Amino acid sequence: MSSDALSQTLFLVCFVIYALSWVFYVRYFGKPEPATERKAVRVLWAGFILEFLALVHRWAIAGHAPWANQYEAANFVAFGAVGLFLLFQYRNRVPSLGVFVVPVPMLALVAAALLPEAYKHTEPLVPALRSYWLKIHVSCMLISYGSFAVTFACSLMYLIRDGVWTKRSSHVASAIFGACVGCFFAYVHSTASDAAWMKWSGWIHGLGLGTGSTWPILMAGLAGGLLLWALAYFGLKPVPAEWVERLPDREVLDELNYKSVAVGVPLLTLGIILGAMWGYVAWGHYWSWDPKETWALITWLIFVAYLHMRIFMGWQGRRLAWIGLLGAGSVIFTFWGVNFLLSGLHAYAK
Amino acid sequence: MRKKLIDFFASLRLTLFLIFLTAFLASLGTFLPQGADAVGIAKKWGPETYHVLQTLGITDTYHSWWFMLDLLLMGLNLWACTIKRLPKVWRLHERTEEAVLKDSDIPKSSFTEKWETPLSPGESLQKARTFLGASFRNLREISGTQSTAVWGEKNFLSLWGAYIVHLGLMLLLLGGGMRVLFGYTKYMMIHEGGDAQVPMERIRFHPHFSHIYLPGSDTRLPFFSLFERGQDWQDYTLHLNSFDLDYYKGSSVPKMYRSNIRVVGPDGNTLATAAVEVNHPFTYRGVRFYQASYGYDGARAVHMNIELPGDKSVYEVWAPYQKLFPLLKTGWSLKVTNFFPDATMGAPGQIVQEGAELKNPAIKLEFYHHGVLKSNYWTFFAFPEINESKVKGLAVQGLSVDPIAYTVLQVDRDPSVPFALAGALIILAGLVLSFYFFYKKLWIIVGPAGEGGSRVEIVGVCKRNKLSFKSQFQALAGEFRGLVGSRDLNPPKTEEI
Repeated sequence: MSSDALSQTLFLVCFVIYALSWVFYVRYFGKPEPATERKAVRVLWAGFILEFLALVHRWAIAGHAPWANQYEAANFVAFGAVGLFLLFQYRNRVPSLGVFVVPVPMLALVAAALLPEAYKHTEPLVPALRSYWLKIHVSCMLISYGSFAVTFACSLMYLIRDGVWTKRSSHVASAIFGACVGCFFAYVHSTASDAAWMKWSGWIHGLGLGTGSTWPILMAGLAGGLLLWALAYFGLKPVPAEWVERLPDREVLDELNYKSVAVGVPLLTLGIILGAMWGYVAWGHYWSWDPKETWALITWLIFVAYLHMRIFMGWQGRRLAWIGLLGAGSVIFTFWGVNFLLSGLHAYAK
Repeated sequence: MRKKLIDFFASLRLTLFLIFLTAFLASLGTFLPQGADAVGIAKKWGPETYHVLQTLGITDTYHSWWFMLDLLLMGLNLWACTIKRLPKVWRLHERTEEAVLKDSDIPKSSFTEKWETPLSPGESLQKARTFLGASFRNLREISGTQSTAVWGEKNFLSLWGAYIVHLGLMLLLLGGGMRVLFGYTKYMMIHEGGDAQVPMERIRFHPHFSHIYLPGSDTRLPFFSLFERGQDWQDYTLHLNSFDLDYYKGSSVPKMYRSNIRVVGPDGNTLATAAVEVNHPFTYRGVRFYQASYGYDGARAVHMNIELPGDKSVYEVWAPYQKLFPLLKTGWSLKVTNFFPDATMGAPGQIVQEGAELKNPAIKLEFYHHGVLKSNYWTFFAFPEINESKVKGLAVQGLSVDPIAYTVLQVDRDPSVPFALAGALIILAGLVLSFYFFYKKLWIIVGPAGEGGSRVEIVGVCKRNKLSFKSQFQALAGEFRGLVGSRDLNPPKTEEI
């Protein structure tokens, strides 16, 4: 086995261990016995340590910090998310959080593993990346994404605990949210004009609504809105009330949500500042309005809005949970979408 | 009217609106092609759409008037909010005695517990002092007609965190403006062994009226500008001593490229030498030089094997570039007239330059026999079998080339950097202050009660982390209750104000 293949296998093993920990968390949720929760935490620690070793191994074989392309970065995000969650659950023992947080690093690992084979190899660094800034800027950004994984979970849990399907405003919010996401992805796909888009838009054009991208994008928005609304309404409504009540109190979730943002925002700010400093050294501009930069700024703005709503306007709860989800969505787009759907100076991150 | 205007600019609703507006406008520029790439829109969606987008400035989002206006409004909002709210923060610290003793003026998000103790007011007060003194420095005390309040506070500075962040943001915006006004970016090219002048812009204070064109149209608008810009050259030149290019071992991925340059003064004297590398710019008198690009242009000599008509031997030569070179006594001579480091076939029979890197070198040759031009053709080093010489028996195999490298340096002057850096560091400091230091204030108000006892009220104020503060407060209140004792059998409940 080449060292490259070994590295990939190690990350897959991490996935299996995280999945095992998740199973324990789910079991604890079904039947709260302290022993089960302890097992979940221990297994998660084991996975975390193994991923640490996997990263060290990758560093050794690649000869550079193991977060220089999308595959490595996704694996590192998983590591950061697990690390921050372990820290979180140490400070705030809320076991059901694990049911929602642990799938995030699992998804990151799966997304990394599903990348085309050519993206997964260790590669020598191009001259622009040969700098200590790579180590500090990228790691800082990726760890902040990890803490927003906790934000995502807390927001989602809050909405479920709040009975998202019983609130009229939540019906509207989920429909609008889904519609925006649908339009957004359809639009981005339309600019990429890939095979999936051609098929989908061709199908819409077949309905006789005229050519062009407008109708397919609107239809995607409609579909997204309906889907998310249906998911929130029909998908969550049958969840037994006693399960919902096993989730932590809304007050606790709200506070945890805020704490995760309070960890993430300074890290994100530091990451963006370090990136600007690197940009000044490498490109001669500390800000170039490159898509990756711009999307990091958009994410930052969303969370800054969150903080203003919370600290200065005294908002709490449901509205902030929605903003938290919006912010988490923006993180995902910054991290994943930008690299595959938009081009720019950060294109070597692929 | 003035108050209304300030209130409008200082409103948090405007802040939120502007934050989301900025996020939305900024995202536009990431989806729609910008600048020169935007011409593609005309092909895809038709010239009308392109014209509309261009007129609106969407094809240059980040320099459009509406984006600038949005940023300007954000700056105004930051100022107005800071000016309006800062005094309130100060008042929280400098609360007067009446305010403290009036229940009505206890700030929001605080907790309180009240009970009566058998201790006399004096004794209770003494206990309160020692109790608070254990966790707070600089206790303060105020007496009213009936009761006395003792209080302490912690991490007062953290209340200023948000405003410190605002100050940093203002510096950043200021820096952005300075960059636009006083900065410039130029490019210069130097050949190995050659010199080049250093481009610059002279910016001088000269208020004058000029005009600008509306984007994408011929409409002129009068425009007042304070500064005048003029293209100029620095009084020093740069000399490229050599250019180094390293590859990773056994691969064609470049690892590092470096320009070894010399700064030459007007009298030809050396003022400085430097190695400019990617990620390692060189600063000279406030101007920064970045390694931007490189390539090859011409050669010193070409190494090749030549077969001549009616001759069995293979001649290995190092031919000079663009100079007639006789091949011993064969009667033949050759001249390398052109060299492309990365050549490709454009139209059939037409050789064009693809890039400036040494990827697919090709040379153009002229062969003369006794002074008469016999052949004139291109040959690729990698494909010697494509022989276009049209002379039977004449063949060339290019082996290597000693190319003349050139470097492209980005010349940058940006006086906003210290402002931007200071702004960034201040933002970070503000964030750390607001998120990792929590403001806490604890009061104990003691007043007389019946039978020589006293009435005790303990109030806690926090600004963040309410949940954990609540349990902290309950613990502290419980501890103090144990210290002074209570007349009630039921422990008092923590009330939220």
